[in-house]
Amino acid sequence: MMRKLIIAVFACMAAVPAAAQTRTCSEMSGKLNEFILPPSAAPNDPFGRILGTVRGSLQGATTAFLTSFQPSPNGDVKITVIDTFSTDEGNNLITQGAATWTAVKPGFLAVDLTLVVAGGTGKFRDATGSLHLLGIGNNVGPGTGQFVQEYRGTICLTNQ
Amino acid sequence: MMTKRFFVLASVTAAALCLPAAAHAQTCSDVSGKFNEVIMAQQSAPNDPAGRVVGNVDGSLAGATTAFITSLTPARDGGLSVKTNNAFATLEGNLLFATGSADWTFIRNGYYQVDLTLTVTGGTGKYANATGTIRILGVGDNVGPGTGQFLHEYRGQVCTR
Repeated sequence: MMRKLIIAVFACMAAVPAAAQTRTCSEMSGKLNEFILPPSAAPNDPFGRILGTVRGSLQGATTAFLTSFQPSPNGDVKITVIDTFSTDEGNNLITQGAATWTAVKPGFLAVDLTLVVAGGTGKFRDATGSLHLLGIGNNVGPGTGQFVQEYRGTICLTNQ
Repeated sequence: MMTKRFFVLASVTAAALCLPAAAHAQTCSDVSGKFNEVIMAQQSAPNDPAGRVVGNVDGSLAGATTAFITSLTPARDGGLSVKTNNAFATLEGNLLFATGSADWTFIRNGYYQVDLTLTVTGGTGKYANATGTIRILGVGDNVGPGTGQFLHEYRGQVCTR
């Protein structure tokens, strides 16, 4: 009996840290307005960089650069990207994404992008989750054009 | 009569010559506000070896900003002389580009007083061919490679055509 009691106490003690580190997941949604920077503003990013404003749950600023860019003969483009959000609250959220840009007409693209959360600073330290972005690229070319997108997803944070 | 005709002709010619100049006249506006910049982690800007910031802007240029350091030179008493390349994306949808020259005065490890002058080099939309200068005063908190932030106030003049 005594042995069972001791095991139970140890089991509870072991469970305490797990309970203290539970995670809370929140729905995220909003809109993004991203501008492709000219080469002079991002000369070190060979596939280009965007700068944009963010509304909604991640309100603030965003910047992203392409890590790969694969055009296909039908005009569609497959890209991978690292996207950083800087919220008005002062936290950074870092994500990695992959997208297909579907050609609508020259310079105009339908965007379907999934961003996977890769961490961040402040409240986003150790964050996990993903965001799904749908939108349009207008007049897109090297160093010119913009993307107008909506985002929706879930981000999970460690309870402090 | 001849004198009057000459006067009219001269006036019309002069007015015609002035038109292009008037059409290209610049309008200068004062700009001011605040912004915060967060130093990005290296994984977010691996191609900018001296670092990149992203931030939020309030005031005349409300929107987003990003900048990267083009040179970083040690100065006296632990300070730094810094050159930057800045871009602002306003909520209106215009981009403004500038190059910067700053003195970072050392306060204590990781903390600097910043005095930065931006020279406007152009932009898009209403800022196409813009000129002007913007002075930025602020503080760098906990600044290091891939960490820290800057809190600034800006004041200046931007001229657009």
